[in-house]
Amino acid sequence: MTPDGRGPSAAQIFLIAFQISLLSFGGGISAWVFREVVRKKAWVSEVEFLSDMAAARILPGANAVNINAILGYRLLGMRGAVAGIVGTLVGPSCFVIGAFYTLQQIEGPAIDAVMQGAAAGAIGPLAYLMVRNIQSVDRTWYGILILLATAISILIGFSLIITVAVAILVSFIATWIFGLRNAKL
Amino acid sequence: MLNYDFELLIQLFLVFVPLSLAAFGGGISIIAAMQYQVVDSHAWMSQADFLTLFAIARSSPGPGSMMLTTLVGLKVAGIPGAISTTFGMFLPSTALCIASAVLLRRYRNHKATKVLEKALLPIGAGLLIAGVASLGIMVSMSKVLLSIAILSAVACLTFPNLHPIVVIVAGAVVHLAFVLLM
Repeated sequence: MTPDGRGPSAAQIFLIAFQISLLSFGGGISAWVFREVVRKKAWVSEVEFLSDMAAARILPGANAVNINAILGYRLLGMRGAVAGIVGTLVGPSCFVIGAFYTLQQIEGPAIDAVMQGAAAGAIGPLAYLMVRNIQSVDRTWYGILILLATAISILIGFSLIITVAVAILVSFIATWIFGLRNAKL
Repeated sequence: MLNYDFELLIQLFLVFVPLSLAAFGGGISIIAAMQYQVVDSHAWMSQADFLTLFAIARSSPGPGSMMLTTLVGLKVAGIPGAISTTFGMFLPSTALCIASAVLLRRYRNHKATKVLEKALLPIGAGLLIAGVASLGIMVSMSKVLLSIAILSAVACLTFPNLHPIVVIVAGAVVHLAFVLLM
């Protein structure tokens, strides 16, 4: 934690998170955070940012919310974390609530057609994200087995939290035992 | 909107708490479970309603798929519902995140941390497959929608720099044209 003279105030953290959340679209928030917080403001170093980003990515939750919570906490403790989270969520929440009520006003079969088409179109970027994630998995038998078992378990309707808990346990043990032979670990 | 149904609000909150803690890899990883809870188990809305909310969330700025949570609460119980689901979704994961960020930072070079980092990759990928597959199943109610989804996926895999809003708008226009002309 670096609450020295150059540290920002809660209001500044809130404002940055608020701006970034509204500028970013369909993910990619971390690149914006990097530019603002590391490059422009120099509130944290690049090493600090990358370490926080790694934590934000492996923990559950939206990366954008996680990274802003962790950075806020690093900069200003609990107050900074709250400012970061609220800043990240308030803009997009108001946006979707506004969009929801606007759509209710102009209800009709044409709007239904538009929204369903938009939903189908929105699957493409997620398919890309999915492929990128699959590529990040090591080509080991246990990695592929855990990947498939997780996907199938969810699709046939098993409890998400139990699936994830079991998968983490199995995957951790398998990676610990068999990953030893992989020098790059 | 003033007749708060506290039981419903608490139910909404509790549905999202476990999802929050299992959301490895972001919002899409939990979309199958969310759909199951909201449409099949609690019957709070139809599949088509869920898809419409998904479309709004993905067309909005910010953490796209996560905003679906806010919209589900809004649809079921108005603004109090939206607050309830948003808190249910973000409070547990954020609390865990801040608590473990400190630990992860301290033990960054410890073997257990590196093993955990690697061990979580196949789980995140598996959850994403389930998420995308469940969306595919949802749109497969119509051959046109399924075709749009497949074409959109092909386009995004061929041109990785394609902005998401392009395929979302294209999907909306193509489907509207099809519905109007048929």
